Amino acid sequence: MKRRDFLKFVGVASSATVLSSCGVEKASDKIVSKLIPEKDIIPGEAYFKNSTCAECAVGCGVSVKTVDHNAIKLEGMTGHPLNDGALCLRGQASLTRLYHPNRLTNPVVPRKSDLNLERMTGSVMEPVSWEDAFKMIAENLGGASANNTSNVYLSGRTTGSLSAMIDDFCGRTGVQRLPEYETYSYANIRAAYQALFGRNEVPDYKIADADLLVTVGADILETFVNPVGFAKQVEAARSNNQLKWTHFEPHVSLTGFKASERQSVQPGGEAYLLLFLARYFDANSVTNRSMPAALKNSLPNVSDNDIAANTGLSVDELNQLAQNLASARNPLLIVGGVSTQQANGYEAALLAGLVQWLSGMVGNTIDFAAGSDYSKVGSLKDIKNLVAMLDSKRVHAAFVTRTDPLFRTVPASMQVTDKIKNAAFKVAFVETIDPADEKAYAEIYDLILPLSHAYESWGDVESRKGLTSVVQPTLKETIFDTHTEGDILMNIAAAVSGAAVEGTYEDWLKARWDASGATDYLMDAGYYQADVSDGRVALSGGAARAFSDANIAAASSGNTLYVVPSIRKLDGRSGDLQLMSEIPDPLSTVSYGSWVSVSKADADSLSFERAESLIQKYRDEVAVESAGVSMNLPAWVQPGLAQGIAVIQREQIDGSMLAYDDRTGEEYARIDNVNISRTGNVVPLAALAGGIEQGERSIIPEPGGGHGHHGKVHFEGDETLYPDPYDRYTEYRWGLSVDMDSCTGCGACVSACYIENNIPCVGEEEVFNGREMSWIRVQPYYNDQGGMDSLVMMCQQCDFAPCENVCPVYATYHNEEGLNVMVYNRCVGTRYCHNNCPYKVRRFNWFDWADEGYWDGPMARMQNPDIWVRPKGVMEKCTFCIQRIRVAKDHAKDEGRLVQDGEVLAACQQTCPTNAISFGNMLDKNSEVYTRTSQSEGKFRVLDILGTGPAVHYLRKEEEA
Amino acid sequence: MRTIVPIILAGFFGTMALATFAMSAYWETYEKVPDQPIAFPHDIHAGDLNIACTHCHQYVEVGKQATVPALSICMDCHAGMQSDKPEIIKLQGYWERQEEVAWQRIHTMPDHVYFSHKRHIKAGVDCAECHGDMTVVNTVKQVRTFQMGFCVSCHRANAASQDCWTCHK
Repeated sequence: MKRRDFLKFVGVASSATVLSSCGVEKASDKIVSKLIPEKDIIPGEAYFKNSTCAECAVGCGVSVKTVDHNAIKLEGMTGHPLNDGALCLRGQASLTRLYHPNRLTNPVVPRKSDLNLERMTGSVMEPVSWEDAFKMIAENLGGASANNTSNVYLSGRTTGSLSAMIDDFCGRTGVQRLPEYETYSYANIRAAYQALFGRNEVPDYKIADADLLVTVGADILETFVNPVGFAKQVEAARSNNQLKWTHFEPHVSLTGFKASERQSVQPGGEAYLLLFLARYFDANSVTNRSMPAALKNSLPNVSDNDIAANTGLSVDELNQLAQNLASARNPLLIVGGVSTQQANGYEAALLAGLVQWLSGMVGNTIDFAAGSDYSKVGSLKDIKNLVAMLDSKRVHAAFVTRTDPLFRTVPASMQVTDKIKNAAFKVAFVETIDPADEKAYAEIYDLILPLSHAYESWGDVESRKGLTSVVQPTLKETIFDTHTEGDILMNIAAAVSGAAVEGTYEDWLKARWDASGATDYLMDAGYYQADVSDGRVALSGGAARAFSDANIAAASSGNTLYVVPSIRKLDGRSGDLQLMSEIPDPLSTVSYGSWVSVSKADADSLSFERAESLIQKYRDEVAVESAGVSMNLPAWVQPGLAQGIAVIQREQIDGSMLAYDDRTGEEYARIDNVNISRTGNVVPLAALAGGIEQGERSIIPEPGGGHGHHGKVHFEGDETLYPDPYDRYTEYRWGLSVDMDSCTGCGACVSACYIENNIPCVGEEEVFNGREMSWIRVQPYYNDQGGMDSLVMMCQQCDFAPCENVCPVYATYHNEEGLNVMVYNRCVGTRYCHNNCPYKVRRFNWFDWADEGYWDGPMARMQNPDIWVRPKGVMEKCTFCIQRIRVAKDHAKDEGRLVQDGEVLAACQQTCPTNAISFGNMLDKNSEVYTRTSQSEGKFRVLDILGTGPAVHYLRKEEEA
Repeated sequence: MRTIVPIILAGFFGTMALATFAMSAYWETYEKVPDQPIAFPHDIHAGDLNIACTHCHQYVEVGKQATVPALSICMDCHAGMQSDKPEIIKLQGYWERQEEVAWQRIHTMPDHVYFSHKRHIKAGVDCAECHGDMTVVNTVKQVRTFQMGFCVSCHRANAASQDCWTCHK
């Protein structure tokens, strides 16, 4: 047979095969008639339910986007006093906890007998019924009175009705409620305010009212007290009061880079800096407040020159700072973070309180009436007491809930993990258990009860005094056989007394709301603001005594290691959310794994093999040694760090190196005399940035380079030989702008994008292969002036998109609204588009992530039904949340009009705490995106020189030039 | 070459014949209507009794999905009406047991397709355009291919949007 005949034959045969297989495949699935139609819910259409984020203790209000009783997305609750519409990256990702593959599905009793087996197979967890579990607890609680010991209840920070329920439960069953444990308990700050004003509290810092903000160590944009709210307030103060913001820190943090000015201070020098300010305010009578003589005499006697030497700042600089604070109308000083978590951190907090009082901030920009409620939170002192009780076998039954049940966050020297075994009966309430930790759980606990997630529960949170936020279920029923903590406690109490359970926690809660008149507010608005007590405070007569044993000893020499909370995982509590490992750290772009940040100077003196920031898988490994403990970690060379300073994130360190303050129980973030040496190895580190310096690429052009055209946006009046692309747009031309001055680089947009668009996490191995799937990323670019720009990069929707004209199958094309659209099921996976994109924003599905297990189990319920889950072999990318545009157009069409400005919020824009992203119709000259873009003098488009004509503008003030 | 031509021809027609057989077998299953838990006659309800489609498919004008009615809607009439008929006894059995009815789905869209009933109803598309005349059929079956060509031809004829992302997602 000739070749041509063979081809004919094959052609005919294959066409016959194709013909025979055409037609619609029969559907086999079912469509269900419910019993009665659901009220106010249209099947398949999204609706929002108010609730409260439970990922940390801040208690931001959320609107849970729900479709057919599946929560699919979290959005910050608009108008909520704490976060007003915004949510951080952990908050966005917290939805994955609801559907987490490691959720504990039912009560379990660990089989302790199996623990000694050499080769354990399967789970050591034996399921029990709830009834048996309650009975078991009730029986064991009785043991305490028999042998003269007590039962204890240890939890993480608890507020609102649940706190009242725990008190009620403890009262009824004779359980002792211990002070709560939080890794970041602000113990020094609270103790200082207690000594100065008699208020053991974290006050409300009213940044929005300030015109001068001085922060010392407090990472207000990352983890300090209420980072989302603070970011919002910084933005408000910047636009309303022309806020000037100076940040002092011994290490580097995102907050430092995003302040107007970042100043390095020597480790331990913060207390000296504050002492200078306190003396200045007292001596110059800036306000009518002055120090009583006793207090003045008890202040440490240090000369100005010594202060200058210890802070690393000159006396002139210190004077200038003090003068600025004195002359500002509404100054605000916030001291916290690493500056209060060190040997002289308590002194720093005391002096800070003194400065705040002397300068008139207390009562003006610092408000004790609406402080965060930390009244039940203890410190490591209380953990020490617990250990003492356990040591002397005075604990019979122990409940551990909403805090790390394995106590890995507690300094290892306290040995809680071992000592807790002295209690006769240990119960943990948990949401998830990592299979790798099962054995560790089994070694400690006798019973483990699964908690319902917040979005399956009724509850409330009162994280700020007087402000109650509702927690309500969004799912029809719990995913697994779980209960809320309130219900569990009511059942245990009933089992103890032998009486029947008095209704549910929901009933109890609602009766409590009714009694306080909060029900209507909570159910309609989602939060309730009660009257708060007077916030006026006076300097306590005993304040001087606090300073009597104050010691602001000089900073130590040698290398210093800072252990800082992570913006992604805080103290490690969000570490079990894979998304928080997948999304890179905003400063280093490291996604998976641990690392230590070292300075360029140290890298040079240790003669690193791989000090360059260019893309590379392997980095130098260093050994970090302190107090006989050594850790080997890959090193990240962090621009801006001073020589001798290294930084590691709190969740990456085990407790063995950590120490704490005996006076207040505050954990130290600063470890002195650390030895850092090169091991000689190079080890892989998953840093995603191709390069953290721009070099010659001019990605972010020099300010004043003639890029901005005031009053115009780039596409207007661009002279070109080609037809004006804007002629093709008639109704809409979707455009987006990112304000570089407002953006804090926090990464909330990235997290929101993942959840909104069904983007999978690919895992560490595939991240190393460069196969991460994020449609939007935040790239840090460090400059020679010691600054850092965060560049938010997503598909630029180019007018002359290089990706479009290389697609062989017309899977990507430019639509009539200026969007560079991707028809996913048309894509055949040539990846030409990806090769031709200068922005690296297209992502290819190397695997079917459903097959890889990402969407296994309940995770599939999180999928946004408005956008497809792309299979293997398909390219995908950002299309400005086109599915949201579709919903808005649908509504607009019902009303016979065009989509109005503000009707479509892209997911990244919606969650942004500083409103840095605006999005809308560029043809509408009144739209926010158009006005903001046209008014920005220093606006630019990334790689504009290529002539791609991006629809994304980056805005900034020209004055930076 | 001479010997090869008949072989090719035989091969071609043989294959086509085979394909025809295959397709006839396929069309049979295609035409076959799945058994529903309760035999619901559309011709009686929509035809003889002239009940509006929206009486039962109550979300068709407001949402993407037309949806099947909740049992309470059936029971509005059938709590007392025609109670002696075997299919109604079945229906009442479900209601008494408070059991939801899982129907065999007839019409379906792939996951990558966006389709909104509301938009089509508001544009004045008659239900029968896609679903056939329900006032005369006793048992529902799919009468259109619901392939892309079917959608696009109608969009073209009515000057509706032909942007890919109007329907693809």
